[in-house]
Amino acid sequence: MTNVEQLLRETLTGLADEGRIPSMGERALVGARRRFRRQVIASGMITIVVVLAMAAVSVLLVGPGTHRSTGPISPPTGESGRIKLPGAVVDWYQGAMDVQQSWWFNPESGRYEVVERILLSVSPDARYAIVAPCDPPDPACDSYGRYDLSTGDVQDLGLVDRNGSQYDLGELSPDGSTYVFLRGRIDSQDFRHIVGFRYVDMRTGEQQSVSLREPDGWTAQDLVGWTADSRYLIVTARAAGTHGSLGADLLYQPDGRIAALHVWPPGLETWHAEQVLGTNLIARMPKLNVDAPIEIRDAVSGTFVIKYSAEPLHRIGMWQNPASAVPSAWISDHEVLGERNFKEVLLVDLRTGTVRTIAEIPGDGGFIHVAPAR
Amino acid sequence: MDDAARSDFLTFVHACTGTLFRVAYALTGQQQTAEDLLQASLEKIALRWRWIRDPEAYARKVIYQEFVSLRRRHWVKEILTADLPERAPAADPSRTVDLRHALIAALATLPPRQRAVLVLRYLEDHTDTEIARIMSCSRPTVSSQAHRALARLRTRCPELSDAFEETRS
Repeated sequence: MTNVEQLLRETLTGLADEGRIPSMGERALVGARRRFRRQVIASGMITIVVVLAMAAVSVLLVGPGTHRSTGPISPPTGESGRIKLPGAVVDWYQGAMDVQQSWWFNPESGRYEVVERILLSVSPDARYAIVAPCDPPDPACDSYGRYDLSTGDVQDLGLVDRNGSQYDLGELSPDGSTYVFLRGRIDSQDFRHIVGFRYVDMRTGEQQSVSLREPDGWTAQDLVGWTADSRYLIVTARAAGTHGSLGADLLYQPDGRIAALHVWPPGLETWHAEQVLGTNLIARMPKLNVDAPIEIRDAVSGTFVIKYSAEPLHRIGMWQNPASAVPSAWISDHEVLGERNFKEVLLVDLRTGTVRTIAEIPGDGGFIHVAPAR
Repeated sequence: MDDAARSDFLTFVHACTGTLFRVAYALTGQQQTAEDLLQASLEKIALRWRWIRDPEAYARKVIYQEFVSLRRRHWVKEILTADLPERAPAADPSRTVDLRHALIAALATLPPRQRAVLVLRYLEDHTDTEIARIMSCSRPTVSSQAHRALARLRTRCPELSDAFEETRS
C-alpha cells in the first residue's frame, strides 16, 4: 500500500525520466524568429513580418484604417522594396529583431523615429498608437497604453488582469476611430471565452466597457476582426462545454448585443479564423499540419463562399510549428501572402494551387508589411 | 540578439535542456508535445534574453504558463486522452506498476492548471507559495486547484481508492 502523494511523486518522476532529451538551441532560435513574426501578426496589425537576423528593431506599422501602406516603409538603413498587388500593397525591408522597440515613420518629419514600446496599432492620422505592456513585466508599464506619437506621453489604459479576467489584444476599427480590447475569462470548467469588449477612443483616449451576451449553447472565443464598415465585430464561437473545433461565427454590435449567429455546417474542423483584408470574408482554417480544406464564408450574410484545399500552404511550409499562428495574410478570397525560409515573399493562389515568389529579400533580415490597397 | 547574447543563450539551453525537458515531459506525457512545449518556451525566452536575470527560474515559469495557455488553445484535443501511445503496455504485473499506469492515464485527463500544480508540487517539490509565484496566481488558488486535481484523480481512477484511504489515514 502506498499513499497518493507518494505515488504521485514516484509516478511523475518516472514519467519525467521517460522522455528523450532533444537538441534545442538552434531550433529555439529559429522558432524565436518565427514567434517574433507571429507576435506582430497577433498584435492586430494587418501585417506579416519576416525576420532573419536578431539585432535591433524595425517594426513600422500600417494601421488598417489607412487602407493603404504609408511607406516608404523601410527603416533608416538597409534595402527595401514595394510590390503592388490587386488588393494589397506589400512592403519589404531588411531589418532585425528587438521586441522592446518599434520604428515608425513620422509623415510630418519624413523621418523614422524609435518608440521604446511595442506599437500595436497607429491611428490613421499618425497621432496616437496603442502600445503593449512591457515584457518582462515592469510595474512602470504593466498595462497597455495609448501613446502620443508627437510627445511620447503614454496614457496607461489600466488593463491589468485581475479577478480571473484577462485582457487580450484586439484590433483597430477600419475607420481608425476605435481600438477594441478583449476581456476574457476562464470559467470553473477551465474553458476560456470572451466576456467583454473594452473600447479606446483613439482621439480622446476615453474608454468604454461592454459585456458580451452569449447565445444559448455557444461561447465567444476570439475576435476575427471588424466588419469593413466598422459597424460590427466578428467573433468565433465554440459549442458550450467543448474544447474542440470552433463551430460558428458571431456578429456583435458594439454595445455587446448579438446581431447574428452563423452556425457552420458540421464536418469541417476549424481551429481559428482569419479575415480577408478589408472585407467581411473569413477563412475557416483547419488545425495546423492537418491537410483539411479551408472554407471562406461571408461573416455578415453568413453564407458559404468557396472551399479550397490547404495543400499549397503545407507544401511551402507555412504551417510548421503547432505553437505558432499561421504566418500569412489573406489579401483576397483566394490569395494568401506568406514567406519561405525568411527569404522569399510568396503569393499562394488557392484557386489554382500555384505558389509564386514575388520578391526575394537580400541580406540577413527582412520584414514584410501588407496593407489593403484601395 | 548579438553574437555574445546568442552564445550565452545557446550555452544556457545546452546546460538546462535536460532539466527543463523533464518538466515538459511530466506536464504533457508525450515526446513530441513536450518538445513543442519546450521549444515554444525557449523561443519566448530567446526573444526576451536581454532582459532576463535568472534564465532558469524564468524558463520554468514560462514553461508552466505556456503549458496552460498553449494546451488550452491548440493542444487540448491531442492531449485529453487516456491513450498513451508512446508508452509500453503494462507488462509488469505488480500492482504498483498498474497503479502508475492508471495514474498517468488519469493525469492526462486533468485540466492544464491542475496538472501543472501537481507537477510543481510532486515532481519539483515546490511549496504552494512558490507554485503561486510561478503560476502567477494566489496561494488559495493553488490549494483549490490541487484539491480539485486530487478529487478528479480519485474519480477518474478508482484503482487509487486504497491509496487515497492510506493518505487519509
